[in-house]
Amino acid sequence: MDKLKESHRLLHSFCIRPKLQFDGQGDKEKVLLVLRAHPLTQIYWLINGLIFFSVLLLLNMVIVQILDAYQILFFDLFGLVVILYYFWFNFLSWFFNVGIVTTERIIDMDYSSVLFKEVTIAMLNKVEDLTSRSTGFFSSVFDYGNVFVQTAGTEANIEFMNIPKPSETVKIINEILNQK
Amino acid sequence: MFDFLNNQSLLSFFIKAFALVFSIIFLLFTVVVYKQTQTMNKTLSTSVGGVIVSISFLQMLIALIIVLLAFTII
Repeated sequence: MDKLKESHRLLHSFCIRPKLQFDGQGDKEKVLLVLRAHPLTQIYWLINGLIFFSVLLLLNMVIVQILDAYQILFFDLFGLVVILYYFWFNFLSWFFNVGIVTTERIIDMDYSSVLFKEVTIAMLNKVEDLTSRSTGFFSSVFDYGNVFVQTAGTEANIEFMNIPKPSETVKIINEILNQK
Repeated sequence: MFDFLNNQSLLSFFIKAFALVFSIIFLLFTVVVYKQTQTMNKTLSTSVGGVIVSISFLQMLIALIIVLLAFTII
């Protein structure tokens, strides 16, 4: 556990000992690992945004024959703001969907579509089994995948989806468990 | 049969209705996301938390400006 040095890799999607705090954190509890989805898995909304932008440009060629200058200005402005908001909304979804490993527990914070919150917590001493899974061409090339944390009894199981370096994550959690 | 589509005043009415309805819906959405960003920032405090909340607030202001433009320009 002491070997873990502070680092932020892959656009803050794989952070070791980051300086952050979360709701309900204990006084002596330290954050060791923060995981977000691999940046490559987020590329779809960047491409979608560029397609929307192209559609807006194409629409301009049509509406220039129907609307006057003020109306075109309004629709361009509105379209541009909505597209930028689409980027921002997806960024928020990515940024706040995190998996956290602390000295005491494993936490999975999910905000699906920003508006729905789900927090799953598993105490480290209840962890029974850890599994990492990478399937597909891109996940093998860019080293990302899923990590499943199975807990004892009625405790909820935790899933970290599309995170970078799943094998390294499992190794780090195992080291933490061995030192407990 | 489709003569009404060539009526400029009717077209302007539809454009104004569209602009007002969608800009107000967008404003409501930005308000909800701004409040949710504040909640998320409290749940997970990072060094860039202030910047994130500020950008959400800025988006809300821009949405408000768009609503005002929808009332005035068109």
